[in-house]
Amino acid sequence: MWNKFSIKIQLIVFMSLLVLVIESITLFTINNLQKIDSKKSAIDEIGTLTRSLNTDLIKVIFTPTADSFADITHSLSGFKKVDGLLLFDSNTNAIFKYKNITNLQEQKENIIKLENIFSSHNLLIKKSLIIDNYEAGFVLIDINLDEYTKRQEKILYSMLLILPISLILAIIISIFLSKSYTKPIIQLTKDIKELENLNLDININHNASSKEIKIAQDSLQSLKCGLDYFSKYMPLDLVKFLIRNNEQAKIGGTQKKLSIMFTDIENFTTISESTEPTLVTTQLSTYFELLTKIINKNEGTIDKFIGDSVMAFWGAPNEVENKIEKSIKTAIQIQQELNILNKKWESEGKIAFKTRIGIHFGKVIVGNIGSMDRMNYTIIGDNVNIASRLESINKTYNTNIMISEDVNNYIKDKFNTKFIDSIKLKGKNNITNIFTVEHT
Amino acid sequence: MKSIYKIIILLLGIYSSMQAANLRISADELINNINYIKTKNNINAIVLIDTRTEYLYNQGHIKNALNFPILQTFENLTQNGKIVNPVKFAEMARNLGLKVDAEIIIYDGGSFFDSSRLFWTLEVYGFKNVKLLSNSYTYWENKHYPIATVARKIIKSDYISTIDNTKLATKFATQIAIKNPIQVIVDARGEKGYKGEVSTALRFGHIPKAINLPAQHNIKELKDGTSSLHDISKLKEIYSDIDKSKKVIIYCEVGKLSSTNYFVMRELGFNVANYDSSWKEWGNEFYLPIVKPQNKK
Repeated sequence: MWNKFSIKIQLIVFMSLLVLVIESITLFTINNLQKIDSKKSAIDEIGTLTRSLNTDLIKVIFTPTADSFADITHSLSGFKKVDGLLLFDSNTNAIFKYKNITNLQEQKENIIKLENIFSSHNLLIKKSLIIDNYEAGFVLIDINLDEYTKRQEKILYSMLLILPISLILAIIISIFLSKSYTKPIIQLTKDIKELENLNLDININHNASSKEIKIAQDSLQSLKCGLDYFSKYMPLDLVKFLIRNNEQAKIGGTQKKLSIMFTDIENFTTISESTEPTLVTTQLSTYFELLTKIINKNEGTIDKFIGDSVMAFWGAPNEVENKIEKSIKTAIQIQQELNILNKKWESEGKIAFKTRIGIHFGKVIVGNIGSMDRMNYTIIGDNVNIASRLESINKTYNTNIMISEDVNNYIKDKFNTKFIDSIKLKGKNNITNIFTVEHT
Repeated sequence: MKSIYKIIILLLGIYSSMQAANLRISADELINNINYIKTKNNINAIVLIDTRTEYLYNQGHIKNALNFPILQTFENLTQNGKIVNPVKFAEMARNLGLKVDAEIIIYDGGSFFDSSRLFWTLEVYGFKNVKLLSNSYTYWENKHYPIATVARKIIKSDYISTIDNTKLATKFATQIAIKNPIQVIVDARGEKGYKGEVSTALRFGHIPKAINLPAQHNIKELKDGTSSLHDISKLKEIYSDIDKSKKVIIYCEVGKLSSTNYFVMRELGFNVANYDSSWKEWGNEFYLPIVKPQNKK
């Protein structure tokens, strides 16, 4: 589920969650610390108040005149947080009150017992008035905590205000990060996709933003080189097919009707013996390149090169439309192009490679054949042998494209074919007709 | 449009005069006051206080009134006009069953000095809803309104002393007021006292910066021989010279006469404090500055 989302979305979600978590933890911590702090400073403030007014309050107890009352009232008015104050003498008689003492009177017994009581808005506290170790009386004080609460709220609000800002920042950073991280990854993905299609012409990007991506790009580069190399050994279509099929290489095959072609160079043994080896291999390389090009162009699969001959087929691993027609076309094109090449070679004093081609159409077994360690994607069956036989029969009739009756039946309307003979081919019980294809 | 302004001004005038007058009640208003009627049924919605002596109180007082003889508002009248100390006052207040939020109406024999003095005392000690009867007891008697000779039953209160220090001026506060331009000092003694022709103290003259506004000016004689406080409009005229934005300290011989000025100025919306020890303290302390009369230099 999660992997359906792009890196950008994932990053944004991750960052936002991170911000939210950090924010709430900070908020919670600060809020709690604030609460503790508020309580502490409220108690501290009362400490300051009673310390500074201690003597004056004791004077009020001993000299209760209007003037001393007025003085203490004036002093108390400086402490804005004091909502109420009640002064008791040593006999617990209430001597003096300041402002609103309703809370203090209601909670009097509790305050005396507990020393301080916190409610949501107020702190009720008892402080003894001591002079020279003598307790002259005590005061109950009602402190308004609104200012602390307000300060707490202020911090809370500013924290909440930071939240959207940090969220936006997180998203911006996510987008920025995702750009620098996803760009190479997206490119990498594209490159891999291209490679999957065996498009080996691409250049692997090297704009890595991190070590891992760089490794991936380097690996892909190596893979590309490997594939490039590999494709020289194996038919490209086959590799593509195998990649796409997403299957592991295993022994096994299926029966399919294919068009099979064999080619061979006339008197190659003689040629190779009488010519310099390097010259032969150079010429042979050019020759095979031409054949490969033509076969690939016509969607044929090159099975293998056997010495100077090529074995190819149409219809596997991919089904090919008009496979017989295409194999014939291939044969004609090979002969035509080879004519040109041979003329060139002859003019250069080289030996011409005259080629014989045999084509047959029939059921074969196609698949991975061999041992577990080393296998070939190839075809086997009598019909393969027939195709090979047709190629060599060219010698007898001095033709260069020989096709079986099965092939002829399909293509006689489209190509110029000529009956050659009725013969009994090895592997076939009945007498069969063989034909050649005109190509000049 | 002009008529609308006139109406607004008129309404504002009525409003302000209503506001100004809310500290006094006349005998005729009181007799018809719903809360006073309740008082007759022993529901003490209004607390009436008689400031005359115990003797006169026992001779006859407004029905259901309590007695708080004016001498009790002094700490030691033989010395000066110092307000009774808070502990003594608290005891009296508790014994009279007084509560700070109760509606209290004070009257006296007709001088209005005594009732004003108690009015001020109660305000200093934190009472919030105190009024003055603007007629004397004699007027009440003459009108044959209900009176009694036996004190009514009292349930003690749990009054705890508190102080409104803005209404009490000490010697110290007065010393500052002399220097402070935002404060005004009013001498409520008679003209002779102010001018230094007579004195209850060792020295003659008045506190520097003080202006003379004799307490007698607040009171008028009625046709039946009794006296009454002047109407608000008349009082406004008398006090028109004093800037309302300034803090006022008033004094007299012993802070009794000046209480009348205190009451009136409270009615008129002044920020006013009474210097209780008054001239009897100031005039006897030789280090304090005074303005001496011209002919006694």
